[in-house]
Amino acid sequence: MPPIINVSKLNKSFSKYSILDNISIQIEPGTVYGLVGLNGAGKTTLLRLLTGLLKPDNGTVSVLNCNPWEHKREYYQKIGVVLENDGFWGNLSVKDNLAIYASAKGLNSSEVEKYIDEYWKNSEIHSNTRKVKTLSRGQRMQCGLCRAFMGWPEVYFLDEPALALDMTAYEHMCSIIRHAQKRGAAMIISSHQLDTIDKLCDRVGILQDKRIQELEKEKPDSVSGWQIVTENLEQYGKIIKDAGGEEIVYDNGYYFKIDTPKTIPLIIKNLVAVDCKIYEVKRLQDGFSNTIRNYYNSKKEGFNDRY
Amino acid sequence: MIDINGVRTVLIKEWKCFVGSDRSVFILYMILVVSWSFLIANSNTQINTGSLWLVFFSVIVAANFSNTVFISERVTGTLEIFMTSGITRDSILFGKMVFVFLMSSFMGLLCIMFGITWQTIFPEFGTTSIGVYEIIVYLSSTVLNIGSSAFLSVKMANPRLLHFANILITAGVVIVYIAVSGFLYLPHYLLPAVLICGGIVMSIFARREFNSEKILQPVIF
Repeated sequence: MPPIINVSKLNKSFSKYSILDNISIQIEPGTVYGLVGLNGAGKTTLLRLLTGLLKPDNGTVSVLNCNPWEHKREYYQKIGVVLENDGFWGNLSVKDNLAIYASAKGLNSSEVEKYIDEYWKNSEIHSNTRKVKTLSRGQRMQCGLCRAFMGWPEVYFLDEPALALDMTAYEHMCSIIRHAQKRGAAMIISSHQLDTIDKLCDRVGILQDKRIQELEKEKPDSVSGWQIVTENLEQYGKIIKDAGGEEIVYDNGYYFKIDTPKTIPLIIKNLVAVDCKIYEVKRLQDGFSNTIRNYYNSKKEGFNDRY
Repeated sequence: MIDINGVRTVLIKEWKCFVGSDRSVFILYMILVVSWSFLIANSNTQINTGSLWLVFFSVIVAANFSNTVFISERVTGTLEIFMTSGITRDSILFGKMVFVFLMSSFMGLLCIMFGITWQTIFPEFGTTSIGVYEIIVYLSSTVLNIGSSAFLSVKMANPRLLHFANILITAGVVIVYIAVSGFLYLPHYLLPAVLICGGIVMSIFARREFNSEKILQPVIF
């Protein structure tokens, strides 16, 4: 499938400071691309270039066969955006804000009502007549997500979409993103939350030193370890070790690495034998998060201090 | 490229934002309109300058509305998202300018109406001429102020100086007009024509700024 987002040899500087150098990305429809990088790496700048808010110094940006910097109406009607600022007018109600953006996107009110009824029924957005300035940060983010997915655009640029969301809202955001993905949308998600990247992204690029490096995801069935959630008693760790596991104590249980899953029944049997209450046993898969951690550790960027 | 639906959406948005403003905004506007209408009505004082009061009223009103419409959106960051919403930048700019023009015109007419009322109630104020010409001068001055406000709101790193810069621009045009009319005969319609032409030139500059990256530069207060 031909790429829907095509960035080639992109450069961007602000006065004498170079931010992005020779960036190339191709993203096909139905792909969720994770964009990670340390603070100031240029993630937001890249998203602003893709949304046509900034003009590239060199290189080409093509999204949906359009040059974003031409600021065409048709282009903006096909993209959904969440940026650093939620962009809502505080003195207007949620309903009024969404109505203005719907009108800008060329959607009629019945389409919007249907969309909100169908996908945001259980959220605060449904029939919300409160002024936006009275909403919490998380609620405003939900409104921002609702606006971005309104009309189900073909391309999304989401800058920290999970910021300030509660558990329910977070799960809802994930389901909405997956729904858009199933409809064939391409997406770039910029986030510092590695769980979000792991959960949603098919590909990940790290912005570092003005350049982008794409990461290879570990095989989906590769197991990095197991986590067993019990009380944190010293004797339980000893049992795990004795049974062949390499134990590490977490706040909410034990994490252990094993060579063979056959060891798990033995560990559980031994734990039960000493009246250990086992709350949960789960397999931990290697995802992007481990790869990202390993990347930064290898770069000695003090990643563990930051994440 | 200006599209009518986009302009309509911008006008609706600006109107809703204005109506949704804090009550103090309306109170301040009423105080401004009523107090200025006394200046317009009273021709028996030494500070009476006739229709120029209307010109400078347009500077204040247009700059006030421009502050809200152009600058506060940049400060709050709403403009950034609005520009990615499906409305062209030209439509956003034009819609905002039309809104400021309509509101300034309304305020100006309200001020004139009050002025006429004061003259009726207080005959000792005298009879300042407030006719069609004065209204045309007021509206053309508003055009210049809107154009320059739109331009300066992006161009100036510190938009607190917007009122001051607007006064300088309008005063500059008026002073040049008065100075030249001392030597040459200038027809009456030339002043509004110059003001409107100035407004159009400023609007063209504003359009260029709106379509540049500068629109996203941080506002310094």
